Amino acid sequence: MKRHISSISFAIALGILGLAPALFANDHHGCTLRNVAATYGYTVSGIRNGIGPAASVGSAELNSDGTVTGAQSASFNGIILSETYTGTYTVNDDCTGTAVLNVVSSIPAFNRTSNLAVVWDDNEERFRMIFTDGDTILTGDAQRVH
Amino acid sequence: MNDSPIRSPARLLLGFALIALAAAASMRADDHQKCSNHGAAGSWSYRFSGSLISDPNNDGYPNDFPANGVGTLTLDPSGNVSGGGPFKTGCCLSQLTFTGTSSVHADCTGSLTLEIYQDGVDQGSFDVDEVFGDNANAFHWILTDPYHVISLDGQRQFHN
Repeated sequence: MKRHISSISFAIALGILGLAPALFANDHHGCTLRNVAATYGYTVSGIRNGIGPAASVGSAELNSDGTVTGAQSASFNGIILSETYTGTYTVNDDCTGTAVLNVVSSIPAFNRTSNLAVVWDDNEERFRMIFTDGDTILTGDAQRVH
Repeated sequence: MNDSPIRSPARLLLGFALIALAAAASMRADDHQKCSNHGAAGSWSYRFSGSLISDPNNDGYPNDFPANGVGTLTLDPSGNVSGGGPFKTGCCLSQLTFTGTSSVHADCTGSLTLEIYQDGVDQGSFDVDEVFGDNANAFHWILTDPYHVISLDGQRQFHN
């Protein structure tokens, strides 16, 4: 009986010792396409040079194969637009990334290709973005829908 | 006497294991005391937006141009900070990098002094006031140097 109890104690001890390092395991992470893939809601605001103040709200579906699809409502200097887009994105281990989006606008003159730099945070629940095209001074915040 | 914990290897091991678990949990709790240089240590992402005053001698308005950016930064337990990311002012895209020191107080306020580089060119030393929120998983900065109207929001990349 004593031997049996000792065996149980030994097993519990090994289990606890195995648990202690796990408490620190979350201190080392990296972002991956697979982990950030999700549907996000977002807002963007700022200025489009030559047009004026600009803002948009929409949702983007980031797929684990690096493709993006999305739709948004936008206001360019008060002109209201309905837009869809497709594109690709990358994500690096340090949670930085890029995206290239081909935007189709309800006013064809606003069809465009947008380039973004992106950073993820909050356990890959959110990302922040800046448009890197020369005619834009736009940033945005996005958060997973689910 | 045969039941003495000291003489039972399994119980001795169990005792050490419990002590190790308590120590680990305690250290984890310290991490969550969050508003200290040690508690703020980690990898963060940020976004900032605002304006730079273009002519300090001109009181008229508009007299500014927009500036914004995103990026990542690392805070270490000693209060050293480094980071950077893309930065837009007016028409132009550049790369911002910075190094400096951070001092985080127990009331979740703090301050930083940053040496900022734009495309590798030293732009000088800048002062920042900061406040932490969301159990120290988020921070908010404002540049306190004249002729800058810049605020920044940061969020820890990973947290428990």
